[in-house]
Amino acid sequence: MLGLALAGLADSIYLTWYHYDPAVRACLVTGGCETVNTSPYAVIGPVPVAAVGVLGYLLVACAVILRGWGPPALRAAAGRGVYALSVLGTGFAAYLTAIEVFVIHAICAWCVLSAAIIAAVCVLAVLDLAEPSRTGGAR
Amino acid sequence: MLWLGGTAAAVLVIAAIVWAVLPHNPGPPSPSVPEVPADIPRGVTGAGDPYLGSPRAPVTMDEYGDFQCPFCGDFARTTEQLIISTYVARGKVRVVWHTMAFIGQESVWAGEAARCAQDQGKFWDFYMVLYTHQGAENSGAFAPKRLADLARLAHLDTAAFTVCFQSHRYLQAIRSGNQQAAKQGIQTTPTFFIDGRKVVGALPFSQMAPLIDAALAQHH
Repeated sequence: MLGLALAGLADSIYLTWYHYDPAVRACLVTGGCETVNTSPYAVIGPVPVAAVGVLGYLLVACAVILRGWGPPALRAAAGRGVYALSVLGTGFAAYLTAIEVFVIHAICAWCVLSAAIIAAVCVLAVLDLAEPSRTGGAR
Repeated sequence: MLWLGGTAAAVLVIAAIVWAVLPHNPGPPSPSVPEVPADIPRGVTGAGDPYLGSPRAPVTMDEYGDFQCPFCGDFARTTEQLIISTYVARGKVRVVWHTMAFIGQESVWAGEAARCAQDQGKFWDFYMVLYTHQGAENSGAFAPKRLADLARLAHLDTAAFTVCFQSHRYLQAIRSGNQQAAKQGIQTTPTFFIDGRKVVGALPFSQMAPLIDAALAQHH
């Protein structure tokens, strides 16, 4: 689960960098326009959605570390935290994917990867919580 | 299984709440179309490309773009406005437009429509209208009927525009422009040549201005 959270973090950092880098603000004859990352839906107010992802994955990674390696008294709460964060993240990712498919009519591969990662974290968090005997399940 | 089912339901509920709270409709077209000052000279080059600015301006900025390219639109609405007011309106720079229609059929239609607007001396007005009414790629934003609406918005003679557009008299010119751009090795839009110096991407004014200043300094 930690590996997935770190992969999601790297993906979100890349998308945030892409959002701000003026050197890549162009459409490629061979590769399209990255329509999704330049749409009005790529920001919430002044904040890029990708930066929200960075924050979310950081929180998930911290919670996973606490779940696996934190003080025993905190592990159960951390497991519930991973679960809550991943449910929220998967819900938000579902909204963003719906926007891509039904509104923008374009798909951003790195965004889909992020959605798949957070959904996988969510499934693992469910399995972890559904097995109460596990204490180090975050590994 | 109960956990997974409950979680899936929670995910859907959250997605629905976010969908309800955050905007998800394209919304009406932007009402604020930047105006190109009427006193700035404009015309057509010998090759048939529209230009804006004094023909005697010391620096020429060639601009290659696709009307569906969101970065080109962003550039036209922001950086280009500052370039026009700072350099073009003062006779220092002349902008020459080159259509590079590669994103799809609506790019070609928009390119043809812009050339029809050029016939009425209103290329740059129509250019700004197009770039303030972009939509998703090939989603109907620049379909023929929509282009007629935009022509009206740019105060074109819509009857003449429709005759011109439906004749596709500029289709070959658009295709030739694409081939010419390919021959020059242009792989991205927007691409600029500031007195021949290639600049790629929708750079902010803070990065474009020094490049223009450097070109102007060559003429002093």
